Amino acid sequence: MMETDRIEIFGHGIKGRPSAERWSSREWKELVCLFLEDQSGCGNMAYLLEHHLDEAISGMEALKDRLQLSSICALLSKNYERYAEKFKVKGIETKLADATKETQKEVFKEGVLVHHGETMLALHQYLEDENYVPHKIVTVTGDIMEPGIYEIPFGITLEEIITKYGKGVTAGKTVKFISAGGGMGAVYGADELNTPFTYSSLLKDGTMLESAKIEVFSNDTCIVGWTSERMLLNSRKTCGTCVYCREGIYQLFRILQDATEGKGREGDVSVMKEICDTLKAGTLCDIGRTAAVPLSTAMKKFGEEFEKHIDRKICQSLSCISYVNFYIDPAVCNGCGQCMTCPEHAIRGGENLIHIIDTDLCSKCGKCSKVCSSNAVKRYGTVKPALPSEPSEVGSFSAESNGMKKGLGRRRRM
Amino acid sequence: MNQVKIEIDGMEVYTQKGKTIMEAAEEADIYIPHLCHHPDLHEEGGCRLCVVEINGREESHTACTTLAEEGMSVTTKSENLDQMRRLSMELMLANHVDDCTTCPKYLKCELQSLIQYLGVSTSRLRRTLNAVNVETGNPLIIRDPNRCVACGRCVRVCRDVRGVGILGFHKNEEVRTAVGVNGGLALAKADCRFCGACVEVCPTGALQDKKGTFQEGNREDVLIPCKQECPAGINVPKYVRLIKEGKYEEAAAVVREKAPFPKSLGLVCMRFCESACRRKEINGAVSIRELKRFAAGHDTYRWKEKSVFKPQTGKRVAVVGAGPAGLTAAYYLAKSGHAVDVFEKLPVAGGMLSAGIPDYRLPAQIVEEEIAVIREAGVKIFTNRKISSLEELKNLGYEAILIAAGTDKGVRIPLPGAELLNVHVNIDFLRRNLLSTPMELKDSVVVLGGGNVAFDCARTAKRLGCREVSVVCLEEEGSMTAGEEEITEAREEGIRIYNGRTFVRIIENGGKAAGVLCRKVESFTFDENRKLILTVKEDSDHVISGEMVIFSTGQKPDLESFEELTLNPRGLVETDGSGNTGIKGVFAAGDAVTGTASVIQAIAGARKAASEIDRYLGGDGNIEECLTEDEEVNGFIGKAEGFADFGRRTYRCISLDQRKDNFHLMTEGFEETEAICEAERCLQCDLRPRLTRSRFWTEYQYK
Repeated sequence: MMETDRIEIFGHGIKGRPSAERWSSREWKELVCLFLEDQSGCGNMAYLLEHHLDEAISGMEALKDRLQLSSICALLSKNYERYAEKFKVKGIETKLADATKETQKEVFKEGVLVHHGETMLALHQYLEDENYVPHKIVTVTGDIMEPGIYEIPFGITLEEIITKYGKGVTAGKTVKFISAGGGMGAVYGADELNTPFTYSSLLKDGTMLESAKIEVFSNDTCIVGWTSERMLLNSRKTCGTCVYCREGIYQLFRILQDATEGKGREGDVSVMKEICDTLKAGTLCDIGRTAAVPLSTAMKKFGEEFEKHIDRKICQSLSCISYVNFYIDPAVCNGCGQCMTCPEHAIRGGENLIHIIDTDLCSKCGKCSKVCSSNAVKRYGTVKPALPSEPSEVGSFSAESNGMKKGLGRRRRM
Repeated sequence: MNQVKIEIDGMEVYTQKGKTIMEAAEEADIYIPHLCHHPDLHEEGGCRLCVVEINGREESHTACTTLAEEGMSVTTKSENLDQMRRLSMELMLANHVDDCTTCPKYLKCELQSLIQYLGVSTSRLRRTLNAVNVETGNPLIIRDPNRCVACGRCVRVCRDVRGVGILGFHKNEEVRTAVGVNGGLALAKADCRFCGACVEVCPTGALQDKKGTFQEGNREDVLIPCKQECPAGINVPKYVRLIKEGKYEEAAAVVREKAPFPKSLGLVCMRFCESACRRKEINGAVSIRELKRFAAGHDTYRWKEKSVFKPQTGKRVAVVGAGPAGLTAAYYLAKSGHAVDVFEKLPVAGGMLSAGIPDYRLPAQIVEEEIAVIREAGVKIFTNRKISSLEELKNLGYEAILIAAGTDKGVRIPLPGAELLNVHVNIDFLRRNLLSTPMELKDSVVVLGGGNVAFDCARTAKRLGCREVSVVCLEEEGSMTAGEEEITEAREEGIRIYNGRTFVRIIENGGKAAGVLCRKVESFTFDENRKLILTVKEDSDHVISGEMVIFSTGQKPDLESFEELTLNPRGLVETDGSGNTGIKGVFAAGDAVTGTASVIQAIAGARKAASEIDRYLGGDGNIEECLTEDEEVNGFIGKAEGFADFGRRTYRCISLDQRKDNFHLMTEGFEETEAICEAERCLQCDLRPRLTRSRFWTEYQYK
């Protein structure tokens, strides 16, 4: 049998520390393995329980023998209660966890070795085959052809993950950035897709695998709006003890929210940077230290986009409602009249006429774009496209004829 | 090597191994900004205001969570630290009410003082406060979440220091984390013990005592209202706690430290303590008097071993009047080494305790027992000895004289018919046996007056066999000066009470009283000279019939023998507040000074006078004594399920049949289990001042 301290596996939790070091760090009495639902709600653990439970249990038993532990126990999220029976059959005690804080108190006691359930799967696989490349169960999602949960070998690049597992980016779109590691994960730009998927390279960028999730976002995602949402979600994870975490993350959300609504102020970028930096240094736990990672990494890569939102009130991806207007593309509109249900009566038109949105009346609720079956309702930012001034017959509009278009068209008409 | 030397901002500081940088700085009187740190609480390091730089270490560290290590060199001020502190403050203030001036904590707020110290403004940040209503539903504690900075001190003190643990960090409606009561419950429902520790440690105005809960003044005093309100300053929380712990004789000794009549007080005290008790705002004051009665009933008198007697001084003191005031002063003066003689004009000692308050409320035998202890201390009491003048006493060789003559002259209001046969005054009636006053008892009696003495007269009359007894008084029910129980019990005994009447004249029938002509009162007030101003209802004359009429409309002191004394307009002795009458060597205390008051006030006044006389005779004036051990109080009071609903218990009256025709003590005190249950109800207000008071930066030497 191989010596325990030569087993080269690492924890499959958030930081991926070498397991052998922990095993030898002190005398362990009990083993508790966590089979908990991921905070972000992705189904990685359910996947493990469904596909690899026996192997994980075998890993647990192997570890118990090797470290001569008195007992092993599985801590299950409440909604995985149905798997308790499977543990029981193998003689493994299970406990149900509800509130994470209570669970922490109960579980993290002196002499209790705590492992992520997936680590046990890795241990089993390693013991079966020393040369086995460790895999991680990862949710790959976002703007890709085949989102899903995959067993991804450590070491391949983000690019490979998108192409091999996600079957490429959604048709017609290009990658703008990737978020790796769940809510607190770092942002990788399109030029960083060769980053290898390993704990060490992700940790270097400040990412822990809070949840094993890789999200792909295409060019129509506004980075400011996206980080704003992420900060709001992260602000809800604070326990409240540290000021920077409790107030800082929420403050970041508020500044970003303002940035998407045209209320950005001079100096916002530097305030955000200050808060991000202080969070890293000035909080007591991993949540606080990493909560702003999505923002700080995004600001590094998309700094210009943040500045445009804040200083110039521009949203390139046309997703911040405050910075866009709706219009009906006269070349696409088929005059069906579905959009006439506009609650603000901002749309004029008629049977077989190209419809027109009166931007003064439009409240940008977006209902017209939802009902339009030919996707004629579109947005524009700073440059208004050429549009008819009155409803005119479908198919009659061309920018030249209307004389609205600046530049070439106008010159030719003269 | 238990001591470590560190350097803080270039100053050498020594501290014990195992202490934090913050503790070392506190000891050296060096200020490091802090908010979530409190000397009595375990450290969390969340506010980050106490960040410091340590030579040779990267990053900054919180002084409150970093141990001082030999040779450490700590810097508390730098540009970088300042920036971190300010950001933390700015973030807190962004989520805090803007206006300090409307806050009850204004100028007493740690946050405000930190704003001043760090010079912070919020202009860079977004306001994140979503104002919510101030929670004013609790009768003792007001919670203003808008002023909370979530430092968590209240959470920690409640959980770690008190062991109650009903506060915590919770998500509010906006899913933001805030401090609140676990389960979102009201304090009472969450089994709050209302010890006030959370309010005490709160650095801002987020937790406040409801206005009026405590008086203004010295923190150690005002925070313990029962003790503060007791005229004699008896340490109420201490004896209540001792009862709870089953240490009854010690409890009795605590009362004894301030008053030589514990048993009498246990039966008849006016209980200022109970009116001040914070528990009354929840569900009735703690029955402190009954607990005192219980404790006094378990007195083993072992406290005498600790009782201090100073060496004989050879000085002689005369005390006029053997009531609670006179005897209290005599007792302490005797213990101070003086020879004390008490002169009492009545055949018994005890004053109103034995010749006033009827036996069914306070049996004479109990008073005698208490006087025996006073005699044992060396006090000589001469009864049936009326003093005719100050001169008489001076001639007898007394160096100091205390006039404690009480107010034992009943007031006969000069109404037409007031001098008729069968019209008496309260004191004469109550002392009819003692003084063998000829008094023909009648079947129907009208008592005029609404105080406790009026009820003493009425209930005595009832017990003597009078069939129809009426109490007629000016006040409406609810504003009568008699105690509530007194009124209820009197009603049970069949006494009729007529409220809101004024007396016009006594009706005559063949030279004898036949009733009282009364008029209904609309309203009444007293002017600045305590003169009554009445508004009567027109055409409301009516007669309340009775063959015997007793005036119980106040008493005056009998000071005819001491004409040298300066009297005030009410006929009471003028003193300087400590008993000095202005005549050298002559002092006064008790009802003769205050007007008819309570036993405990008489005792308190007598203590002051005794101390003053001792000083006059060359002593140090210190009459304080410690008859109990200094308690080591466990502030970890723990949870008590349903604490807010623990109901008040009090004494039991013996049944009407058994009490209505005799003078046996009519109340039964607590059984042991009852006493412990009642003591459990105490909010233990005395725990709060034991918490360390937070210091402001201005109070440090180095800041």
